[in-house]
Amino acid sequence: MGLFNSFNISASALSAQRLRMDIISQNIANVNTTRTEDGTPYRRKVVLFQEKKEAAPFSQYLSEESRNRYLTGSGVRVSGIVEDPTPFKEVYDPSHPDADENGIVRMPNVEIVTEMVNMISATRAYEANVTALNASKSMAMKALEIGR
Amino acid sequence: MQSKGDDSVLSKLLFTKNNLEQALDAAWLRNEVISQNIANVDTPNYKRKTVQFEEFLNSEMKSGRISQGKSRIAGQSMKIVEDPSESSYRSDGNNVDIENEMALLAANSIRYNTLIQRISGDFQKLRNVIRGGR
Repeated sequence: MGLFNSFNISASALSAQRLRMDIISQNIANVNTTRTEDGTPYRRKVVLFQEKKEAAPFSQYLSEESRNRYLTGSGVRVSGIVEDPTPFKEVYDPSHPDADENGIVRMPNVEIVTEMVNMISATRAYEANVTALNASKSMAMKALEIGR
Repeated sequence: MQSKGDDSVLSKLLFTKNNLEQALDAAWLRNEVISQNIANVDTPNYKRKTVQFEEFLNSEMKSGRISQGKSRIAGQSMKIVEDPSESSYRSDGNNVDIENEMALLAANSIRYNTLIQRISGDFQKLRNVIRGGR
């Protein structure tokens, strides 16, 4: 329970949501990429979130009671960016330079509608965290007014 | 005979951590916990946390340990607990309801501002007395 702990919690979520937004933009940008550096079509990427646990100070390990007391945790962290293993979409287009001998082109497994929905979800989560940060800020400023 | 410093109004106002300050601590901790819940709104299997403070205050008041003379909770006054209930509309094991958290956040900062006003009021009274009502 420090003065700036809640600021750090909200800030960690802001950067996590921004990274999620970056990856969604990358997915949308590559919706038609049939050839990446290793020759395969582009695979959709997904960001994994994990709760960031606070490292308890030594004194808090001493008793069960104090261990449960003030450990809020310290926000959220990105545990990894993984590739979506769902199969590629197959489209018949013999004129495409990446088509195989049967005229099938393998397209990325990016669903544009899913990406747009996730983008809105990331935007709203970002806004919610900005609101939380502003609430913490106004509370901290208010505390300075004690005894004025 | 009791020492004079222990129960004078001045030392009570300045050197003891009274109920208001404990409530202020609880509101601050609750703000942190709500921020943590909002930060983890998209984390799979995260369970929302809450702060218990009013429960402790209620049991102290019922038992009569808190009266005019002693206005603070002795011992543990607040605790963070995890809410294990399953959300009915989410399939990822997370039970954070973002609307509920935002409402709690707004309510909590109003409560905090109220407590700040009360504490400032206490100091204002003290200042008034020191100035002799002028």
